[in-house]
Amino acid sequence: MTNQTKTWQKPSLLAHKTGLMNKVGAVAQHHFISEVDGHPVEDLMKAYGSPLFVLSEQGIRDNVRQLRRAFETRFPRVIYAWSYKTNYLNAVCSTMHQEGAWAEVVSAFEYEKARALGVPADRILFNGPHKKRSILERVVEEGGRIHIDHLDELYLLEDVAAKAEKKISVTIRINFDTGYTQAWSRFGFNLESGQAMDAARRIGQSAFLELRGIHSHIGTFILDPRAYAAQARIMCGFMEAVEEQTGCKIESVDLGGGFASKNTLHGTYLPPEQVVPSIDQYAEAICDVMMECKNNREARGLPFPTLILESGRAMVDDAGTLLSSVVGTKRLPDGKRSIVIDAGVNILFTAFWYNHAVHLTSAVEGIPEETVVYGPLCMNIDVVRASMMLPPMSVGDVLHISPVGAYNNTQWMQFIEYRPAVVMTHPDGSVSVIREAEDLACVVAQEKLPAHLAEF
Amino acid sequence: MFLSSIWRVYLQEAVKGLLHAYASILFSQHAHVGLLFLLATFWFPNTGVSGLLAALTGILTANMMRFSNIGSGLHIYNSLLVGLSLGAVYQLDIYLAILIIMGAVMAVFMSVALADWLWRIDRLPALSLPFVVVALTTAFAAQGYGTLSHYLLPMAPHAIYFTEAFDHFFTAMGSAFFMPNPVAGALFFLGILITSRYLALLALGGFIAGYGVFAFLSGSQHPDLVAWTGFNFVLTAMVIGGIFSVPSWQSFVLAMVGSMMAALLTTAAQSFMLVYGLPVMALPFLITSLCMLIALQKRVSLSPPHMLMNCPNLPEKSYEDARLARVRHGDVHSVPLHAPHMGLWSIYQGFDGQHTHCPPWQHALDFYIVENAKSYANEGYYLTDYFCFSLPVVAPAYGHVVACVAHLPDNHPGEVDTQANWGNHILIQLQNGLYVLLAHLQQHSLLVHQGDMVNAGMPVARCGNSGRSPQPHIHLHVQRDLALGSPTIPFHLSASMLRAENGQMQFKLFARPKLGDVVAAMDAVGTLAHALHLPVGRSLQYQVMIDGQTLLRSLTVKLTLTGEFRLHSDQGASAAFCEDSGILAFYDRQGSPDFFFDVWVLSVGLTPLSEGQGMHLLSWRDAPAMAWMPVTLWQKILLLIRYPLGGGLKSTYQRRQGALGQWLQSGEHQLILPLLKPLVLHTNVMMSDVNGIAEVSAVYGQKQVRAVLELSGFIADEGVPASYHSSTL
Repeated sequence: MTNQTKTWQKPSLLAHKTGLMNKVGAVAQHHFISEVDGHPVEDLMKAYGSPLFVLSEQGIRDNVRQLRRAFETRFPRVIYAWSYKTNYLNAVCSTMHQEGAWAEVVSAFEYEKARALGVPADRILFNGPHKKRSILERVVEEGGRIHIDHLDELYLLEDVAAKAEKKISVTIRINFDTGYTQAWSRFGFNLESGQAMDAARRIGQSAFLELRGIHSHIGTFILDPRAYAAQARIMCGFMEAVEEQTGCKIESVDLGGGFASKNTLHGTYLPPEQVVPSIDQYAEAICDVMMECKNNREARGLPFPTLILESGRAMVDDAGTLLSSVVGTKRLPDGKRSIVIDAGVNILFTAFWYNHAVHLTSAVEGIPEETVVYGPLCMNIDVVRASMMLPPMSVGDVLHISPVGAYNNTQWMQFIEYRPAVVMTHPDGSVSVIREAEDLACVVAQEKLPAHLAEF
Repeated sequence: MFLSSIWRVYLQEAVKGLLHAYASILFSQHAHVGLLFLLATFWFPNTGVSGLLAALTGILTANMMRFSNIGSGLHIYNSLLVGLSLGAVYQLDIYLAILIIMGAVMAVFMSVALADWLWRIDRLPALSLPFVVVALTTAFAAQGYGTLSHYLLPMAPHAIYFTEAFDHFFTAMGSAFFMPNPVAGALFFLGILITSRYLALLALGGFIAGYGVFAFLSGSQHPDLVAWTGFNFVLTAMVIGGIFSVPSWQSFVLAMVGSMMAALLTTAAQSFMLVYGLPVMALPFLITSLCMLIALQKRVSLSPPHMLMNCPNLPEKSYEDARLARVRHGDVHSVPLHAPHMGLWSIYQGFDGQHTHCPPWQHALDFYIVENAKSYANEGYYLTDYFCFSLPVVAPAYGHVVACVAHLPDNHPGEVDTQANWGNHILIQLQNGLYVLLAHLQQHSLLVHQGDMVNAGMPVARCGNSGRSPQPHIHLHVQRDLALGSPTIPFHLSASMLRAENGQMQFKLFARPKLGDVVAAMDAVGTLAHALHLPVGRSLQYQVMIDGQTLLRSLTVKLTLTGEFRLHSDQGASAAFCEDSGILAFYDRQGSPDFFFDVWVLSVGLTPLSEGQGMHLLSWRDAPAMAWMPVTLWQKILLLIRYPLGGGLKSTYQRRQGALGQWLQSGEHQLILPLLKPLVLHTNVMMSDVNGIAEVSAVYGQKQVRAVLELSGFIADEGVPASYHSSTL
């Protein structure tokens, strides 16, 4: 961020608006971000075009190290698995794996991607509600770690293991109410209704499956660390119960992810710096309970489980920035100012639920006004920010939108527009393109035109 | 004539004790060496029969009196020596026989009395002291008995058997059994050579040193005098340099010095005793050896020679034990501790650190966390900016809390409190009586109280910045006394991970990290520890495929009387192991060659029982004894020349976690041969949390072996039937 002295501007008259009266205050046009990870925005735009995703390698590494440090200094056995769906660009995943992360995948495609990147199968946690026989056969063959989501999958997997004449270790996903957040009851087996124990018993009777892990994921963007403490406590309790009732040995307790990133959900009043807990706060809440569980078990001569974490957005969100240029300005009939930029919900999918921080990249003169930021799509829903304070923008001005590292590069769609390039800034000061901008050839590459339709 | 079984057992014991007694005069344990010695004493039958008579009397007496530990030969060899000493001087007849019998009985009582008494006063061995006391008595007494007739050894005075020099040496060897004859002496030397090459070398060196001094100062060679006393030089060298110390050049030099002193004492004793017609016998050896052993025990130094008063052994064995201990534990006098934290921390100040780790607090470690060369985030203005502030501190060992302070405030970064140097702290008394201090803890963060017992790895407080601490860190040291800040004692982190230069984390059984090193604690009680646990009575049956053949082999865990766990193969080989401080480690291989057993043990070797974290492999090194590697006769001879005292293999291990509850561990074991290419053995083992060592395989040149666990269970005990369960699907 750079501060410059205010430039003098002509006085003008403006109607008084109560909407302005908030403590976050007006966006001052002298407050802008002209560099991304040390690279001038202007240079990046010139070299790679607009819009442009910029991911910081150092940013990702710092986040993972912080997470690992926070947990590993508080609990002796921790595994971190990178949630592929958050951002499965190869460069991002490889950075994660270099930092010691395992892979957490939720589909055949993600599993294959992780394997293609060179992740050993036994370092891949295979989650998700949809696993076809063909992929299960491959995972069983290669020794991947499967998390069972429902009974039909359990039967299917048992059959696959029987055919392969293998006894495989499995994890079951369970869901329950922590009392802090809305329960995500659609994934895994429900604890309160007894489904989870039934599934564990069923596995206990199987000649081909062995229950070795339990997994739950209480939700996403959880702002209260106490929810995780409650989750860990319930999981540890379930571990004891399931070991006692089925004779299995639980090796790992997977608490999923859901740690909030420094972003602002729609409808949130306070800025993320004030509401989002630090990773250390999450770690403190979780590890206190896990250590209690460990001490308790050690006192009885029992081994304690490995803690698995699958945090996604908190690891990558703030390492990503979107640079987008103004392509048009317009005064709406209600007097509101609006601008059209070249990045919309097609590539900034998370705009559906976040009010991203949008910053100027150079000083812009003029009085800030409430402005609507529209994307480039010919669709009514394409709104990047429904309302924010911006000075009068001109065509070609570049906006800095962040944090955008999580879920955009995976959930974006090729809709109306080509998807832009993604570059990564490296610690040595260099920049590489980690995903080329799309062109016609690549967009239509999969298409087949029947011969009789070729001519018109 | 049928002997009842009890008598047969009794006879077996007696024969064993007899042969043992003969062998142990020259420190051998082998019955066949004892037999060789027994036969050699019959070179002069008068002496030989006298000795045998005394030895048999000794056995009978010891058995009738029910003295313990008869099998050791301790009581009997003193009797034997009394008999030999009399038989070498007097003709064996009924009078001498009675004197011998009485002397032998007396020697048994004297041995029992002296052995116990000497051990109590300074952990001293009795050696042949009882014999000397009794023999001097009988020698004096014999002078008064007119019934005894002198016996002249049938010696050809100027016959040369080998060369003159060797004849002198072998004669001196023979004199240990009152057989001053080169041929008998050569047989004794052969016995030593079979027992231990190093002892043979000491014998030779000791003779040269002692005889050199003796001859040089006397001005003549005095071969006849040396013929009866030369063994004093030899035995002194063997005891000081071989049996009671770990072989090293220092202990060798010391042994030679001992021999020279024995030479001095021999001359002195002769000047004095021959006047009274008394033989010098083993007196110079005993005075020199016992005197040196007492003195060497008073040394307070960690440098060689390392004395083995509690566990005298053959030098090859003590060398191997010391070598393995050094390889695995580094400094054996250092106190092993668990790292006082979880996760990756760096060393802020090491031993002899430049800031405050000066004598008497030079043995101390300070831990903190750094990332990108900074120990804090943001500006580092607040304590909470520091990465390690308020993180859990865990107990570094089992012990009880003897002192706690928790009320001191944490300093603002950069400030120090010089009034209360150690700040908030916990002082834990270890089982060995020493104290461990954890200092500079966070105010009011203590989770323990005075009197609490703590386990290694148990959280006890949080990292703070109290006392003389400019930034948050943990101070750890071991001290001798209860008083805060009393002199420190060396310690090390056992079973921890150290970041190597290539950035990989390496497992170290002995780690004394230096400034800037990055260490991680290893959790000791994990799933793997439970999976690999080998309780007494555990029996493992493997289906073993060697060179196309399939065999069924079994391994059983036994517990020795001294509390040592040993894994026994069904073909006789065995190895000791321990499961302690987070490792499973094998050592001390004994018994016949057994490829499957060697491969099994090498593949496990030294195994950390804690699981590595993250994507990286867990790797470590070890140097198990060469005896584990199967070699041909030629290779064995080459090895004996190159490594006369034995040595270690170069073993590197790697382990990674497989599917849930599975670990794959591979090892490469190299034996460096002189002139030839190194021998390489590759091992792979699959461990599972249900079956333990589920599958072992190895490749050794053309040879391949693969073993799969079939059954595991327990052998039967009284009232407990054997139980096995199949480990296959």
